[in-house]
Amino acid sequence: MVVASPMVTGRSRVIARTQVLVPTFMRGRIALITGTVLLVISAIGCIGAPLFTQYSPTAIDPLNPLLAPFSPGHLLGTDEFGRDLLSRILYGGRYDLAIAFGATSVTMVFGMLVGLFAGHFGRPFGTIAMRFVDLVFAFPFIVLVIAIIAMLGPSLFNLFIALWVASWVSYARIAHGRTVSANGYGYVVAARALGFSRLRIIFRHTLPSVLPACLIFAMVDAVGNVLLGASLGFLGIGIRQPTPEWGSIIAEGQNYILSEWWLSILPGIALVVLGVALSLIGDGLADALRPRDAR
Amino acid sequence: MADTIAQEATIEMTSATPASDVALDIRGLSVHIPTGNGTVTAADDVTLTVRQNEVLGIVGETGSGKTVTCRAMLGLLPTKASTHEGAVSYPAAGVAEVLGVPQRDLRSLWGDYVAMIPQNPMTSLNPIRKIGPQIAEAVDAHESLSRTARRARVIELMTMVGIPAPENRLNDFPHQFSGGMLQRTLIAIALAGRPKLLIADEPTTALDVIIQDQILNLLLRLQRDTGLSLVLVSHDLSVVAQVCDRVAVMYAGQVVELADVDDVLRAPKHPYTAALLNSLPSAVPRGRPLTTIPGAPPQLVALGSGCRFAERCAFAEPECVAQVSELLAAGNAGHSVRCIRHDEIQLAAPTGGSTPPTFERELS
Amino acid sequence: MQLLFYLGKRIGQLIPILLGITVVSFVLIRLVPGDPALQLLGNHYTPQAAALVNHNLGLDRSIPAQYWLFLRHSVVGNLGMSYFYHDAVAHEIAVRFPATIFLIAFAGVLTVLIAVPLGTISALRQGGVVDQGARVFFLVGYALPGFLIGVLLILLFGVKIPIFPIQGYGTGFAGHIGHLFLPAITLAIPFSTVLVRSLRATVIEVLGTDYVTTAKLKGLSWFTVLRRDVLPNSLLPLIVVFGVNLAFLVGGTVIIENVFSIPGLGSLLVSSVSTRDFPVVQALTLFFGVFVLAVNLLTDILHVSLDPRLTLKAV
Repeated sequence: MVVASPMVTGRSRVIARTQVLVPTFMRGRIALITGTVLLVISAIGCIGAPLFTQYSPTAIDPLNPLLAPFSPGHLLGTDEFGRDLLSRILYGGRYDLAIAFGATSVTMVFGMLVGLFAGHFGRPFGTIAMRFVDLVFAFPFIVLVIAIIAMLGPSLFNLFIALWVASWVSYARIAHGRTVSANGYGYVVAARALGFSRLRIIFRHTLPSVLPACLIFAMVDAVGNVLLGASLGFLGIGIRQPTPEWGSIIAEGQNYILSEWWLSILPGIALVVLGVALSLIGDGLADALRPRDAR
Repeated sequence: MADTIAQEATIEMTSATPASDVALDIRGLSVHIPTGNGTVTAADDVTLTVRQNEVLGIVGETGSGKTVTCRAMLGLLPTKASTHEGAVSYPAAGVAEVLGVPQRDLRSLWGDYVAMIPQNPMTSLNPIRKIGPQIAEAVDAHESLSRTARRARVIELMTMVGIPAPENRLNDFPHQFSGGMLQRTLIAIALAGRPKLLIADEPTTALDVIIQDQILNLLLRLQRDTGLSLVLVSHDLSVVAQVCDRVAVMYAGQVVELADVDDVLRAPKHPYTAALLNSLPSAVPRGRPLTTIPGAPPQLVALGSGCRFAERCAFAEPECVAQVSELLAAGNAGHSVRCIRHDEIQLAAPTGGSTPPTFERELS
Repeated sequence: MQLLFYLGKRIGQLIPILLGITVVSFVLIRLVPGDPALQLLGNHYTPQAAALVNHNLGLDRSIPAQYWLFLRHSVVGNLGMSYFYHDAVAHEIAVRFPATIFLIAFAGVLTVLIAVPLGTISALRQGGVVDQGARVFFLVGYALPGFLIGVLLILLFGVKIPIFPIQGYGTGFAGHIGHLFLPAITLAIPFSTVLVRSLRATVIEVLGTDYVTTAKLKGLSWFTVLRRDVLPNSLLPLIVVFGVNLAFLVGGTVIIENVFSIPGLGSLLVSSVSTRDFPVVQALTLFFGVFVLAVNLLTDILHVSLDPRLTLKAV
């Protein structure tokens, strides 16, 4: 990247995309790599759970309750029903990963599309859509999710539905804001004058300036969704036992926190690792995708 | 050539004057800024002086090093990581070295001895505070006055800079003032501590042409009335011509010509200066196309020691790039130029009139 | 005076959203699969009793009529009867409201106390110990689930080193402070993450502005410049960030109240899910929606009144 010569600083950005997708910062790279590595490790551990543990996460073993970590056969110990903690964590991770990716990706795509189209078309569709977004925003996120789950009944699928309904609005706002400011650059009008179709403009011209911000937010959102799923599990209104979800495992372990602290702490560590991994990726992306300033 | 010093030697600009008469002395200033693309030498071997009651103009394009030099005059370096060589001092105040001094030590000088008028008046005032207190604060920093006396002084300053009905405007916020009014306020703030040296960094660039004139006249009047030294930086040669006693022309971080204003306008010795004068719209008769200087200034990274203007210069020869380029004496006393061919080339002088001058280039 | 006009104008703008909130709350309860009469009557279900229940609940009318009924009732504070408590929902909410409000306010105060110094120092000494430390702390702090922090704090400061009571609301102001300190800190830690990042970025931006340079060049002490120019301009945008993220805080109380057994609205919401007490869930959805809206409005008014540039524009 060349330091802009003073003679050319006046040039306006015609197409935003090429300047955005060049990662150069060292710090961003470290965060990105660390985060991705952590994430991949977690994913392998959870998806490939049968490779790492021979126990079923729900198999009860009344003969071996509350074993400590490093006990023979049980690397992380067992809970009060004799269920192996390691397998519960690994299998349980599947649900949280599913929330992190499944819920977030759908909401990101949907929200982004709504925001793009709303920003592009303006009135009347755009205004109505954004009003609706404002409305959903008026509710605290968790309240909305809980209310939906309350009505539909606690289950993984209903959790997904609740997340889909409540989360897409953030992306819509971000996408809408970016689209509107991108419109201000004038290249949309120029493209229209050249006869490009609206769809082409939206996807080839506006999308590249909207996508980075949405991707970065998606990481933050993924962390939030995972935590939400875990919180609801903890409260007993999310994914329920005996399905091994980290939040509910932690809740169960609460009773034993003074003596068998690992029952709650270890799944907690797993949660934090996943959360940190996603946050690091988000940070790294933010640094890498930030448009370079010309001095 | 009325020149007693050998052509190869660099000139000591302060040799003839007694130290206490010099308000600002810059010697061999170089500023290096590390960036992701190498070290940028924003200012290279800059040597300037400003005497008391004198107005020095610094002319240059963006990237010529004039802003960095300006900041250095206040003891400020562009970033924490910047390195510098050379010295900036205020002999008239007995201050030996200003660069590289921690800011808390410089504070006693700021406002009291030296003050700056910034380039962009719209962003140079705290947007959420009233105008009155912002000026009062500047007064407070240098004198202890009672509330009534201070208020009177604030109004006095505002009147001095030409703000009408100042009593009514004390409680206004910056966004309620026009650009010209804001710049006047900033001048008032600068004068609050009764400084001896005023640095104006492109004070009129952000303003309309009509206001530009008013501000320049104001500055000139204030300078004459108070006898302070003024450094006026601009990219516009005609602005500098109106107000200054001496002019320094900067290019690519170096001073390429330094002389009394009349010499610069009528008998420039550096092709760049001549080209600048040539490119003024008034230099060309109506109906003729405007002259420009072809090419662009060089990147300030890893430049050689030869002439930096050579690739755009109509008179360039291979020696220009090969030889080390230094400031040499030329023409009248106090006139120096950074061009080894200055006595070989003829840059014909204009035939009269004060501003703006016109002239033609002749090849030697 | 002019601010009151602005307030009125803003309230007017919010009416559509208010109505929207009522609609959403209304629709919510219609999502429930199954027959509410069955819920209510349980084993005493007979067709006649069911018909009576349906009539009492207004369920035998058309949807718009039901909505209108709902709206009218809500405005006067009649939020229905709780299935579980056999008591007016509004009463349950009123009883539990103080604890939640206290907790939110307390958490807000703690957040500001944590975030402002950390954010400012991080920005002033970029790359310094505080900055790096804060960054790590907050990376982990954001990923740490609130309930886990709560559990850990209970363990550490409630049980192992019993300084704080670990549940309930306490009596009297001092009692409230004592009982709510741990929960408030639990909320404050993740919330301050957001504020610190924002404040740090703002302070760095403000430090680079021309007006700070002007202030410095007046010869003022650095402390004075910080106090009069840097901090006010940095804290002002923070008000907006605070308000926008307040929903985060409200959401957090829902979980934390459960962890610490605080008798507030959050624990009411969660218990109502388990007991399938739909009127309560619906009423709380409505309540929280209106509450967040009101707080956002207040934040907006505060921001406009404090920023002279906006005050002029607004009126």
